[in-house]
Amino acid sequence: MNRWILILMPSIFLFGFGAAELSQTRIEIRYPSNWPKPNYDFEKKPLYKNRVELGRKLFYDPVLSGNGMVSCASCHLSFTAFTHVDHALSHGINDSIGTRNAPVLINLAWNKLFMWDGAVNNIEVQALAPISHASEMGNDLITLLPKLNEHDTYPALFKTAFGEEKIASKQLLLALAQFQLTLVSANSKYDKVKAGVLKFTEQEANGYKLFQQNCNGCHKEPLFTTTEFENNGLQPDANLRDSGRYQVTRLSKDLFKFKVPTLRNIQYSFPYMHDGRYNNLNEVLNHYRADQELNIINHQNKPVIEITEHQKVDLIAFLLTLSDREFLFNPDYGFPRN
Amino acid sequence: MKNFLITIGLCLLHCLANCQYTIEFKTILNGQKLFLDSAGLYTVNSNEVVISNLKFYVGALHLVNHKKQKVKTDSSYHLIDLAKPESTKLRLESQEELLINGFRFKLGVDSINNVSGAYGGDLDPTLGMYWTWQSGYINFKLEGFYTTENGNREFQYHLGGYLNPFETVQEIRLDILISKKIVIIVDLEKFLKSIPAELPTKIMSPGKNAKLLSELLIPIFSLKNE
Ligand code: HEC
Ligand code: HEC
Repeated sequence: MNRWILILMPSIFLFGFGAAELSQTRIEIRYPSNWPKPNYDFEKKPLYKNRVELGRKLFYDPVLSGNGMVSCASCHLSFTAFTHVDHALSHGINDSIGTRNAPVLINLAWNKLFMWDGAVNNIEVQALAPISHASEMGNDLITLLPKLNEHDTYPALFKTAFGEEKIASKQLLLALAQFQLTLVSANSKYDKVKAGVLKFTEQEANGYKLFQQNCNGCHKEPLFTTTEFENNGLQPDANLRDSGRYQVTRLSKDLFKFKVPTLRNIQYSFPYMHDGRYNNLNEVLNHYRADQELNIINHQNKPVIEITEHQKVDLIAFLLTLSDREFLFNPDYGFPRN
Repeated sequence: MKNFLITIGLCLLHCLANCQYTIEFKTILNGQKLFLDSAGLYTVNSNEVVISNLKFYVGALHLVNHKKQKVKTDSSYHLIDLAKPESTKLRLESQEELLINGFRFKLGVDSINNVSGAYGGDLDPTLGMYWTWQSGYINFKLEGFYTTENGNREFQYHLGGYLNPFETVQEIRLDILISKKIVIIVDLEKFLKSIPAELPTKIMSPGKNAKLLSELLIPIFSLKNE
């Protein structure tokens, strides 16, 4: 259901770079009709099958890293909703440790800004960050592009996708973006309940009510995020000194705000929060509970919920209905076999 | 139809001969032409200074007439890089003879081009004018050092940022009757002298300081007729 629809009438278009004429198969992402429109402008930059497949190959290829060992997938694994399980802070090149937890890559076409602090404003330029980050892939495009241009297979693949054999940053970035824009998760039990195909259990239904009362303001349906920046009252880590959105805007109102993460596939994307401080959903809910110790800087921001142990179980049962196995095991998203 | 073609032909001929406007950015320091990496040539605030890198974006180039109406526009961005002399000269073609009374341009990259994804050409992110860890173009990059009694004192100004209230792109308006050969003087001494002494000498991310320095760039541009 969630796989790409191939529009079989190939569209001819004039390619902007070299004006070579290419015959391309367009791809459109599919999502339920009650969802908002994606934020990415697909009218202006439609997805093409060749480009998406090229992007996927690049995503899984450690050739992008300085030492040829780290790929995007090293930190963004498809089976765990494209996050780095078990690592609170992401691990990159030469085992260096980053400063943040790798987020899931889900429904990125709806994001307005990227990264926990929104430092990246468009998915097309996102890859510049990990490729050049000394403790992620430890490379830079000036070194990487000649390597790709001399590669056995890439020049031909770029030629089919973009009409030009010469690989420049724009095409590389666009291909990576095109693949990631296809990562749509919209087929969880929750979605099937909304579509009238399945029903919640009593426990899940209770949890859903609690969710709507306490969480939906930030983790807003149906994407389970407003994609805005909020402070959910975490005690700032004294070592990481991460001030979140403030680092980008330099506005005091943004101190310790982080992007509201989607809760889709939350079962699989532990550890949680921007620094991966919580290992399971029970710990997360304890954080949101009133009886937890409040820290001084943040306590006025903290969304405090009053739920019993019993209700906590119900809420977790609901959160598990956001798991979408079809997304996790979609063959179109996995390691390219060919 | 025939007349029409002849008119077009005449116009083309006319314009081939006449209607190319060249715009050259000439950077000076102490009133002399600036050479990169040259020791012993320039002083600012009684310290010897060496400039090792100067790059900046110009865009939205307009020629205006005496009524301040735009008569010719080039909306693309150009990276002026002192290490590449050919990049300091731009050309505007016109179909007809224009009476020009001023020149306008943006110093830096507009917010819309900062948020619209990956570009090639002069906006290619590999040209050293794009921050990788935070989206956005560096509008103006100046690097060098002062030689002082206590050794070299480096400075690095990477000025950019498109988010309010720290947006750094500037509109430069220069008015004067000009010929087809437009020369813009970029006076670095003016800039270096105007930087408040209490500011850090490495300003490499968007914010208050970057905005303040960007505003100090406006008066360093002036028009010269040749
Ligand atoms: C070393 C681990 C690591 C590698 C390798 C890595 N990432 Fe990431 N990724 C992260 C971390 C950590 C973040 C969050 C960074 C932040 O918020 O500052 C992130 C964030 C992202 C985001 C933003 C998601 C959102 O919702 O805001 C995208 C998209 C992304 N990465 C794609 C990629 C791509 C494409 C590659 C390969 C070119 C890649 N990553 C390589 C760790 C990694
Ligand atoms: C005020 C807005 C707000 C409210 C209300 C809120 N959250 Fe959050 N939530 C956030 C933000 C912001 C983060 C990320 C914080 C960080 O990492 O610094 C977050 C993180 C999480 C995470 C971790 C996600 C991940 O991928 O790491 C979970 C799980 C979560 N919230 C569940 C809930 C639940 C359940 C509720 C209701 C009981 C709730 N939240 C209410 C803003 C909110």
